[in-house]
Amino acid sequence: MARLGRRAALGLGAALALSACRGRRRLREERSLVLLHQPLWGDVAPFGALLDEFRRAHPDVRLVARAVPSASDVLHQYLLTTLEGGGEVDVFVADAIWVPEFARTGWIADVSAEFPERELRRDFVGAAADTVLFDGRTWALPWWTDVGVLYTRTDVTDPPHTFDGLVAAARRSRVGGYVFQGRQYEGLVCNAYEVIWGFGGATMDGARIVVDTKEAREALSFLASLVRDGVSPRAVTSAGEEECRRTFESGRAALMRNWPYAWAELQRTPLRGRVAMTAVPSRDGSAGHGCLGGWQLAMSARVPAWKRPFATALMRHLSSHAAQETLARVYGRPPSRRALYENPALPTLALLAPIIEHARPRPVSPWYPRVSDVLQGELSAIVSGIRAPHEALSRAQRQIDRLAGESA
Amino acid sequence: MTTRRAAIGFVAPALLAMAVVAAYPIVAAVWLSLHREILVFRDHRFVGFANWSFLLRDGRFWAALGHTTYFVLVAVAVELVLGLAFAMLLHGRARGRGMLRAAVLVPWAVPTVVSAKLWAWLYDPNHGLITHLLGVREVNLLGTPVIALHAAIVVDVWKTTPFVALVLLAGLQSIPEDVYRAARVDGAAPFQTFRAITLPLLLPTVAVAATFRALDAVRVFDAIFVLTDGGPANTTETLSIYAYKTMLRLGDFGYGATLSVATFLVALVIAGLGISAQRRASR
Amino acid sequence: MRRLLALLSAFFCVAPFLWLALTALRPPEELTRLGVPSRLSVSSFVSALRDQPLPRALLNGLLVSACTTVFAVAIGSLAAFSLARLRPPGRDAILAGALSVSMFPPIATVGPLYVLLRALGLLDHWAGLIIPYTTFSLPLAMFLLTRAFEDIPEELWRAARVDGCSPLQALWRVHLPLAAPAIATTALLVFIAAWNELLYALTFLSSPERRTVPVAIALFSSEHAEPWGEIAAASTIATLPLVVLALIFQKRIVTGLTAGAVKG
Repeated sequence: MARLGRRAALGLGAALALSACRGRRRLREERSLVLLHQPLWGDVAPFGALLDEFRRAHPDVRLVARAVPSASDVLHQYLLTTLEGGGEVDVFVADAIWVPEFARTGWIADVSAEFPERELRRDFVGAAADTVLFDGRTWALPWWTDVGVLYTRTDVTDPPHTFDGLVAAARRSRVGGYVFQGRQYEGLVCNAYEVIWGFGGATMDGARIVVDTKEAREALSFLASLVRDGVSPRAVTSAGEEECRRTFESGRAALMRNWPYAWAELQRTPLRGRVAMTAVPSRDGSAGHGCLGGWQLAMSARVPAWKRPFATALMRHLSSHAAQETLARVYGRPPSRRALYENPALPTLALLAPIIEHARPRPVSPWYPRVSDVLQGELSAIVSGIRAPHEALSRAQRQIDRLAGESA
Repeated sequence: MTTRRAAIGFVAPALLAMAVVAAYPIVAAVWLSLHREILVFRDHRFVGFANWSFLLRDGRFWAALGHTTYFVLVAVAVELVLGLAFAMLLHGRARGRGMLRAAVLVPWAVPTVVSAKLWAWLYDPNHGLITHLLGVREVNLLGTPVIALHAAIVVDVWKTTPFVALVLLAGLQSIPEDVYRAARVDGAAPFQTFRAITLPLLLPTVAVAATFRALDAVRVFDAIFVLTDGGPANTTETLSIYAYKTMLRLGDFGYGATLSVATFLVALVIAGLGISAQRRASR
Repeated sequence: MRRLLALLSAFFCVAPFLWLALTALRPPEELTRLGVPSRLSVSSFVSALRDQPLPRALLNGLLVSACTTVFAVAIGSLAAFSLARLRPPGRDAILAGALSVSMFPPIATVGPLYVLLRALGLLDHWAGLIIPYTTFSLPLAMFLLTRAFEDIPEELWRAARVDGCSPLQALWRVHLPLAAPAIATTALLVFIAAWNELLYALTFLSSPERRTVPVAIALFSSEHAEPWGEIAAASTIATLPLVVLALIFQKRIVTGLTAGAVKG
């Protein structure tokens, strides 16, 4: 019996080994079109139907859709491998902040001819168009967008429009203060930029990314004071989106900065009907600038000439009015096309419309991913109170200038 | 086949694998550290020791080295003390020994990623059991500089004390019984016996356990990757995390390789110290 | 007193894991509560297994770990047999080399290996993970098995040779069966190490459908959402087999872990 068991184990091992060595079958068919996209949470059928529509309209090419990692930094790493290694990919999703980087590397095709700037500016919300335009050319097509927003418990306070109002509301609140994303990660950079913009700070000086400005010092002193003075709980220094949402949902915060996905989640809780979603505040009370997130559709620079029309058609199809409506309705992804925000069938979008018009992209620069890595550490030092804003910002500026100087 | 040819032929696959997959990458990393190699910018050129001279001026590197050293020293020290206590409990004839022996294997078997996730949940500032038990309001263990690194050390201690305990137990069991019998005849108190007999005889094993653990702790990656990803303010950033971010997240292979070779050198120093400590302990 | 201490220590070891399992069994609406759950619910387990690529990751982990184990034991026992019985030239140097390989920090090799695997077209490919895993398991396998073979009486080897056995036959017919316990120990330790490895798996495999268990758990969250109940359930599922293995093969594992620690 023991012998038999050992035999069986060896046999199983060998079979597994063989199947491993056979490895993955490489796609050899010439007439295939490969799309890389993130898995959309929820029902997969509506997205599948979108792809099938394209397949029916273009029987000459075989559309292959591959799921890629959804976490942004992991996907960045994946794309580095795939694009650099010449992997099979024709159309793929790119985070708003990567377009200039990939354009400079020569990994993505210049699609100015297919999607001229004029058309983009006309059809898409301003910040979404900004993210795909770099050096006067078009490098991608906006797909769906994301924007930082402020959530308020309306049974506790009215939505504040100014930073002072926010502090006052948080202090008056009997259910806890203001939560934002203060963990050392990309989300913190988004939060910080919103406050910097709210103080009227600039982020670019020509092609140079600037962070050490008077406005930024004031803005980040304000952000640090929120934690220090107890307007925000200590927990925010390790909080991402979900920590904030859980705190807010369990009734421990009156105000929260988050992305629109939380709106849909909140409608499923007892807080439904007691929450408002508004623009992030500013110093002077004008509508604040939410940080733009979201994803673009880009075309690999290696797409051969015969395939280019198909790739273009796929991008156009996925980013069409109808497709974006499906994404918004079924998956809660805010569209990038202006026209959809006037659609009465999608009431959430009416709320988002004014917010998204004011949204701003993070610095559009090929160095952004490296700059963000520097900023994440220094901003975290500011909110956790171990470095004064002026000190952290001047450290960040030095490192950023060195990166740009080296790579010039 | 002659025996000699078989002798070489049999070790050849192992040697080949270790040469290609382990030794070559180290050499390649050293070579890469002399280059500026940034994947995204297609930047590839020989720069001599530029990366190394930057390393010496890079405050973030020195901070990461400091965090790593501190992590290794504190984690290994706590693990040795706790592990010795566990080993003594396991060695004695107390009841409940079998249960403890089974229990210590649990943390060992839990994947590091899982252990980090479960501790992250225990540390959660609002819903975490530990935060609740500490009874301090407004405590954010993973979000407060200095404390966060200690929180990560606790995770490492939980996960690896069992290993130390089992190694030390084996050491205790190898001490011949008649040594103790002699002590008992002399009427020595238990603590005296421990100090005069057990500890000196156990010292070589302690040195081995400490070396193994230190070499393991210096590469700490999984736990911190999951718990804090280096935050807050890079105060939990260890050499492995810094090298990983530089190399793989940002695509800067040249400087990333420099950082990883530096990590390797630190491991070499630890190995050297460990070997000399073992020599001295067995003398 | 000792008994109490033993109990406390056992509690320290087991409690965090039990808390994880309890979290996984909580009904979703009670996740943020600390007390005793009002009822136990398997809904987190159901959704972890249904909506998430977890079953896939478990299969991937099994495949990668099993292949690694088979290769490491095969290559390792060949090498160990040579070292124990055939006295290859430079025997001590080989052992020292293997020992130093076991000390390499993975971060020091991950970058160049990435470049190497990319050149070979093995990125995002099972072989790209199995080859490094096998290599870095070899020192342990060689060490444990060399010891085990050395403990087998030399006369058996001489007798086998007199009978006209080739070295390979002597290994296969005589030494492997006699060293079965050590092989089981080696296999267990190699399997568990491969199952738990994160850095290489995170770097060399990128497609979600090829993720191993630690990667799947570390990257469980979607873009924003982080479903705690499901993460806890997935973690429990990923860990339970290992805990069971460890408890069944307690003796074997303890022997393997402590080998070399005592005699030096």
